[in-house]
Amino acid sequence: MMRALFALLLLLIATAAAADEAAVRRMLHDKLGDTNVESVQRAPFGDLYEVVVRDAGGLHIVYVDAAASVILTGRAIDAKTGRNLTEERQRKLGAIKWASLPFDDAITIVRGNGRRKIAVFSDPNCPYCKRFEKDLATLDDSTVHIFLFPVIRPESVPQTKAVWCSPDRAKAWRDLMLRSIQPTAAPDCNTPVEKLVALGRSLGANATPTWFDETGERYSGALALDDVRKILDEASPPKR
Amino acid sequence: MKALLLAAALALGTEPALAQLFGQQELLDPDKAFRISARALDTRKVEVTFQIADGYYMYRERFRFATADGRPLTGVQIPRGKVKEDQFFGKQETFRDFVRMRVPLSAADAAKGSITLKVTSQGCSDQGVCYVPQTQDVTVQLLRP
Repeated sequence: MMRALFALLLLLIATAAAADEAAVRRMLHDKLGDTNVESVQRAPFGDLYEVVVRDAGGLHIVYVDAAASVILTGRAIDAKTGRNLTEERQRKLGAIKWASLPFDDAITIVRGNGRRKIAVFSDPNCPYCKRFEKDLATLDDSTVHIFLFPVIRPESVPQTKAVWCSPDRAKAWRDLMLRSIQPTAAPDCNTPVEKLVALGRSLGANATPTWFDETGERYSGALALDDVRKILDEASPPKR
Repeated sequence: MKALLLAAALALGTEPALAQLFGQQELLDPDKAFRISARALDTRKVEVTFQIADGYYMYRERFRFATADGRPLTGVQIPRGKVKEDQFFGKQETFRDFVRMRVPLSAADAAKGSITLKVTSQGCSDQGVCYVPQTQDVTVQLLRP
């Protein structure tokens, strides 16, 4: 008897939730049309639904109350930890498959045991890319995959091609980025540069440096090295 | 006096918490970081303005102007920027807040009544990223002679 009541209660709750969700979907349909709405699900906080919408600029998260009466746009900050839950969720939703990156077309530099893995789309004429490179050069136990992404200036294209055509690509890249020594190789060998530019654009990299951790989550900009280390440690934890 | 001090102390005390809530900025899309607008100055001149968001800057030498069919427009007057000593690139002129540029039009373009300009620009954010150059279209109703 008790069990049946409990089951009934659960069913009622589930039905109520489904009714709420249907109301949320109806309201969104009226407001945005179906094409923009990627998903509707309960938010992990409050009596709210998390709604993922897509436009030309990518994925966005908004929240809708269970009565489908208001749409909240903005960030949810965890009151205890201060973490930006909305941004973290957005990053997760926008994550790529790490293994799908064409590592054969990257310049890879390994330090120590190589545990902290990072893939960087970088341009030699972006000052922040140089600063980032300088910081990464001091990151121990790391594997840095550099994907040449010459998009900032026209002269970046021959420069990156010359780097790829150098006998020691890693050295030519580091010379260029850390010591402003131009590569001397002729930029006329077979290079993946055009392919990488197309790839970066398709991944939504509209700025440099754009980088990915091992879980495929995307970041923009030369963040402080301590923050980068923290992110990479979470994405590539030490093996036990 | 005492109340005032207390208020000041309270204000100081809440600041880091507020910074935690509002301080962290997400990166703007380039068309929001660098907002373009244009207007006719006289029958032969268009003024193009970029409103630059706080914490973002644009490079003076990176502006390019063309007509809708891709013909480059030359003789554009761009003010002097602030010289930025770049660790890697030497002296670079940059703009913050806004930049206004004057684009002279040919007689043939000026006679058309309106013109669409393709404006290419490039800038960076103090948050540590540089944007890929973007080309924006801006249409201006021209003044009748």
